Amino acid sequence: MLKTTRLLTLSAVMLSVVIASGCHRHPNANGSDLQAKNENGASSGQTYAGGAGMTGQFGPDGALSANETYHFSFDSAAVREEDAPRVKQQGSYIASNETAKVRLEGHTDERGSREYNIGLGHRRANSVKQTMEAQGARPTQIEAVSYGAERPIAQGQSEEAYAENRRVELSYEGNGPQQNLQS
Amino acid sequence: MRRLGILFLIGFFSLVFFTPSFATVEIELTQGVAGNIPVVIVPFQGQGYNAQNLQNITGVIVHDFTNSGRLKPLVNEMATLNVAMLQKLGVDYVVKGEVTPAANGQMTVHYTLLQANPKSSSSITILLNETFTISGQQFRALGHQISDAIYQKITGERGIFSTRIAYINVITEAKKRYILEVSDYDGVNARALLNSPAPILSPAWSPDGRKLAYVSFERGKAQIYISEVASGERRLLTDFTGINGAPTFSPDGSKLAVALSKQEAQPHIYVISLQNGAATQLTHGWAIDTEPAFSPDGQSIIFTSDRGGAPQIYQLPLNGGSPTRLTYEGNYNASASFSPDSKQVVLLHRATNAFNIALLDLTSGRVFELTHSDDNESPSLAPNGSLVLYATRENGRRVLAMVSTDGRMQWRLPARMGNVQEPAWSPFLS
Repeated sequence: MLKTTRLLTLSAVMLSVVIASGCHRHPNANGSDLQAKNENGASSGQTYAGGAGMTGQFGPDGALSANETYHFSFDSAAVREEDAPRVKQQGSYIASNETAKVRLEGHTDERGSREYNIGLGHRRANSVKQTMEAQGARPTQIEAVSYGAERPIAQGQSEEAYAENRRVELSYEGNGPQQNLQS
Repeated sequence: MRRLGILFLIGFFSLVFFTPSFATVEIELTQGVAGNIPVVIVPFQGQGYNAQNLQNITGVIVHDFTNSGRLKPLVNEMATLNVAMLQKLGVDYVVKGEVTPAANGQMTVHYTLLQANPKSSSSITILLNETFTISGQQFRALGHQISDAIYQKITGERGIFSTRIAYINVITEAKKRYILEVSDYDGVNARALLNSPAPILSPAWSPDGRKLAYVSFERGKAQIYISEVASGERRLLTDFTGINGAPTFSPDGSKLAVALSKQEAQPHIYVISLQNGAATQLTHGWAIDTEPAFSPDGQSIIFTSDRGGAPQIYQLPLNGGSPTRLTYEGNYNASASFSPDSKQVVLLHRATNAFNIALLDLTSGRVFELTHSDDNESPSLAPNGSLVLYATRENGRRVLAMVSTDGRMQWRLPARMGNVQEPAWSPFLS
């Protein structure tokens, strides 16, 4: 029984990694990679959509998730107080797992200049990166990229949609924290 | 100049003018009236006037004049005109022409631009008188060429009717696709240069109109590519760590100014030699510096920076010195580029909450809004400085629009599937 659970968790994590890395080449029908992950049972974004606070961002047994999303205020790159504990925990995990590699994707809402938004998304991803590095994560373990306003997860021109789109998405390349529980 | 004199004075009683009605593929005037210089266009003999036919030479000229912001086309179906009547109507200019079959299935097109002499009711001056031989489907290109010649003769300013535009067409139905397209200035003859599942943005023309530089996310991050417009052949130009963005060619075509972050947390302005690929860093510090644009003389660069706390426009001389701030009105200024005469800068401007297209007058430092809505972006000036192409939102979709630089007139370009964004107006191509 335990073995089956482990296998399921492992394949779920691997599936989400495959989907996360493949989505740049194969976006799904509605153009939202986040929804693709949700449909396939991975955890990213479910918390935010459900508005359930932090709990959903953690895996079973309260473990760290291999996919997380942090949100930002308008034109700001400061990691929010409510996100800081999770960012630090991820940083500590990365620091203590030398082979761990993560990708931080910075995003903005759609308003304003697209190129400036690329810069702003990059600053957000680097703000999360620096917080993780302060926990001992090595710069080479974290790749910060920016999509600016080009990959919104929420459509429309409402304040709610804008707030949802101002985000940094964390994903692990290869082994993530949930998988590590197995060993 | 030759005088036609009495030859042109023919009895004529009712001038019949049409309000041009356009097919949906054509640019649509959405605000203001047509230009303030009326020009009578007599439908070309042998072909007539058909606004719905893209190869109808009279139709092409009528559209071009409507899109010019300066000329007001008046279609007169009668073959004859009365000078006194023209004067009464305040019309100085008349265009007439013929399309006749030539050898080998080709066609001969002849036209004249006539000016009624304001001092004499019996005197007509021929300003233009040209004959062309073309093959079947070149009526549209020739129509644009004739419009250019007439526009320049009347206004003294070069016409933009033979120029092209590049833009990104984002197909949101079914699978999301980003298509880099090039079309005539009016959205007709669209052709795809690149079709990608990943975002494409910031197309920029080379000064000779043969190449487009742009940003593509096809490898999971922003990288700069250059494509040949004619062949579609492309190459990766920059692949530095971090952001490779906001490409723009120098006026002599030898360099690109770009925004690179390399290992830093924000992008800075660099100049890259197209001869040897050497990258020189021009700006430094903690701020986001992006969207470089050369001055027409190539001696300075303007760019967007939030070094003052919010995005504003700065100018940096290339022979040394530090950036000076150009914009003080509004809480957000970005996406700036110079007018051809270097006296103005067109930009994306937010005074309070709404994003509009605006002109910064460099002499006075004042900002004049050209649009008065919201959700506008990516302004791109016509090479003669008379019109600004930009992306706006209509019924939830991105569409392209134009506004005259005096702000009086606005047009919407043909609506397509999906969203059309990131327009870039080509330089003069001939």
